[in-house]
Amino acid sequence: MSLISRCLTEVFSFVRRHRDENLRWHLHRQQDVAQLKQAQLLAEQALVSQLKKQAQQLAHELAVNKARNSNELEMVKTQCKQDLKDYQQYLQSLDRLKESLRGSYAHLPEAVAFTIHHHAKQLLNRMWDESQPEEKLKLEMQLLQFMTAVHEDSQASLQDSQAEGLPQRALAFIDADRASE
Amino acid sequence: MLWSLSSGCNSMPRRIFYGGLVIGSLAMLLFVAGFVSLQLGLVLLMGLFYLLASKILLLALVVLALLGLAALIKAIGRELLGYFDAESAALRRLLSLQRYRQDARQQAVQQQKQLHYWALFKRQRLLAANNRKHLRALSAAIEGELRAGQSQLTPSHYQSLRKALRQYYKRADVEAMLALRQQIPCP
Repeated sequence: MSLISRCLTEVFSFVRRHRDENLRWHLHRQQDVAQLKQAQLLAEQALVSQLKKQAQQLAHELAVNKARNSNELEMVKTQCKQDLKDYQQYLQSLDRLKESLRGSYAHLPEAVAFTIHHHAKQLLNRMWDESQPEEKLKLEMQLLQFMTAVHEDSQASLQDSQAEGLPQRALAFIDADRASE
Repeated sequence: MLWSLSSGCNSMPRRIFYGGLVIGSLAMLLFVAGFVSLQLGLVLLMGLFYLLASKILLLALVVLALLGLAALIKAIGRELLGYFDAESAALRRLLSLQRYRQDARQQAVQQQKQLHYWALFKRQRLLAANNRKHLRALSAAIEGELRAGQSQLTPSHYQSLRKALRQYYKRADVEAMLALRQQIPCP
């Protein structure tokens, strides 16, 4: 019986020692644990505030970008509309050119007038599709020179009723262009 | 799970776990006792022991299962709290704003591309309408010239030229129409 009670006493004292040691260990590190928790909390708050600041900056940048993009888009839209209007006016002026040619030359075949008008339209389209500004300018000069040649031919024909029945300068211009191509 | 159970502030789950294991051990002991009593020929005792042991083992397993379920619910709760806390919310907001910025950039590029495409399309439409108008005038003029020179052509030749002219007009083939005009004799 005393053996059992001795064993039991040993066991209980072992358990009590273990629990005392555990309690001392917890008390010893309680301050460190509290410091760690506080440091974690502060770090988390700092991180949250930094993230919020970054989000605010990003939101501001987004608003600025949105305004700038919409402005740029409006500008591009206006420019495209203006380009289209300019192109339409060019086409109309070429049509008027053809009409004036037919009006100046009494017996001009439609095919010749068409060829001249077609050549002018080709020049116009080449100029419009060109992306390099120098080349574009060159082609525009070429087109203007061609239109001037046609006008001069029309005027010469109106002034001198005995002139040939064809706009020679315009046709020579076309031949020169085709030869250079 | 055992690690979380063994930390100082989680002694309750640890006790329940050990309690479950103890109950399971008791059930095992009762199984052994039942086996011994079977060997000794005590059948009724064996039956009693086995009955008790099976019920106690079931109890132990239920306790452990409930403990596992509680640990699972706790883990889910911890994850949800982690999802809804301030840091995650701020990070989510920041990432979504970055995504908006990228989307806005791409959208601006695509919108400008679309505007240029529409401008090109409208210009081509204008050009096509203008071409059609002048081609119609040219076709009418060549047909007039063909009718004027009809007397100098055989009827079949005249019809074939007319048909060819119509085909070239439908195909908008300017070169072919002008070449056909060269074939028409002067009246």
